[in-house]
Amino acid sequence: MNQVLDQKDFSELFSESLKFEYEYDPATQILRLDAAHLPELFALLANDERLAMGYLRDLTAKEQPEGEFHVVYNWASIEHHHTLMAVAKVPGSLDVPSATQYWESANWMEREAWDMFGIRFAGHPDLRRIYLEETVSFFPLRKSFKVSPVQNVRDLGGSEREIAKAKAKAAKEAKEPAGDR
Amino acid sequence: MAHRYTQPDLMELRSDDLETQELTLNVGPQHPSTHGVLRLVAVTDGEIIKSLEPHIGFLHRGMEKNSEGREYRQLIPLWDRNDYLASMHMDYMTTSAVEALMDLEVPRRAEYIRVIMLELQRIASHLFWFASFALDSGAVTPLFYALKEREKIIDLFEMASGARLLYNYIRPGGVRADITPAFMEKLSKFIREFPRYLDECEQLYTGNAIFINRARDVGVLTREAAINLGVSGPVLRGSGVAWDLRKDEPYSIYPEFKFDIPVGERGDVLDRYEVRFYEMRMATEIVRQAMEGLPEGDYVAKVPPSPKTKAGEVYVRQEAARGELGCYLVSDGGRKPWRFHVRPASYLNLGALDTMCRGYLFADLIIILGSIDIVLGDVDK
Repeated sequence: MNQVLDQKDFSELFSESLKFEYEYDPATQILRLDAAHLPELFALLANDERLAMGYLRDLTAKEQPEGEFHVVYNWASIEHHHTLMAVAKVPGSLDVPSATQYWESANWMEREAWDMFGIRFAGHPDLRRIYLEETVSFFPLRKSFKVSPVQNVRDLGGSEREIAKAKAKAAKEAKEPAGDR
Repeated sequence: MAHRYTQPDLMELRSDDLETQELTLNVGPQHPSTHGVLRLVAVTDGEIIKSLEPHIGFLHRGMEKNSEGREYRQLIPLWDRNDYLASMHMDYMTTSAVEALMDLEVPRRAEYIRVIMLELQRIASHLFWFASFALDSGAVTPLFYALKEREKIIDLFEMASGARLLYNYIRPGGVRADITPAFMEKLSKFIREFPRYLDECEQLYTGNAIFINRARDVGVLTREAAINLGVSGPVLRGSGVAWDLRKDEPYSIYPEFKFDIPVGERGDVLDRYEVRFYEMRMATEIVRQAMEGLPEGDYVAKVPPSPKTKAGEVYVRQEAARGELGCYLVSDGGRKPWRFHVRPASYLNLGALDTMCRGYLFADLIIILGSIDIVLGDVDK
């Protein structure tokens, strides 16, 4: 486990600056909030001299057992040597404000979260899938996605033409089984 | 009879009558210079790169999804295939994430062995980078020098773990097997000889005027852009940011060792090159100190074969060969992770390639890509 050289207690700073409901634990440095309030948090972290969280080192998402999604941010301040983790509850519409206007590193990481979980980041300049094909219909890191039953061509990222070809092949095989020739 | 030249003289044509247009050029996905399966689409104006877009995902294996169905002990050999040139760092990443959610006292001897292995791995990885980077910049000879030396480290790893590439050596509680006196003897011989070898390499290549002309003031990444883009490791330090997790967010027993952090001035390809060379010297120094201080005792704590963790979430990170290797583990208190996310350093470093290449010649693209030191298996997960 990493020790952070100059970890501070931000309770006071947050209570005077953040005008919404949140939970903050100085021992673990985890801040829990609703995703709708993220723009206020971003502005505070990026602009406040006492925080100066210039380095967005990680951004990812997770699904809770009850099906709710969370977006997880990890910041570090290279000037002040402190860190913060924020866990934001995603609303049912799966729309989350993008962090790209403050940290460019969010660009690819938000694309990854969209690719894997289907969470849309409003204000992202170029929200496309990053690992999988655009034609893929699923979001693999959701718990509802099971690994084994992936079989059809569309789910493997095939184009319309390939799907038509595979259908024709299957129909032909159904007519005359391969072993009979 | 001499041929009479009847065409209008091209030199008399004025340049603004010539039509120019931007050209989109594709590199890869299968190309020997892209270090794996990577596709780059460059928009060029003449020979100048206007913008560049990397397309990744050709090696995506769904490792994070795969991890959710596996026990922690199975995650170690799974993830050490991710960055196959720095397997020890991947082993340590999984181990440190699991240990952070366990009440576990790791024996001091195990921590020392880990540091020796991690630093040797850093040297091996940087040597491989030197080999391929020299190829990218047009020199073939350094490949043979570098791989000859890397072979010695791989032999050491084979003595310790039994494997040459994918070690599965560092595990929760300590390491898999103790190191032997024969290993120590071979290691001290290597540590004695290695600085001389580095001098030889620098004589061979660093002072080469052709190389310096190609690498200096090429692919410049400013300090502010580097931090904002989230790059890490030698790329970040090459841009003048003294940020090394071994010193700035220390883990394991790194605070006990004395070493320096090399920092670049210009943020160009040459700075990244020099930072990596200096890091190899410093890694040798750390291994020497760890060998001198190696205590007696257990090399592994008592841990059940398939360990359980506390419920909770943790983000651990370490300074791997390519930069910050982070791991976000969410556990519900069982033998398997609920969510296992890895932040590979190469991923965000490659994301900065567009910024580094804009305004430079297309011919510089490959040397800039080589200076980032990506492993596509690591990027694509």
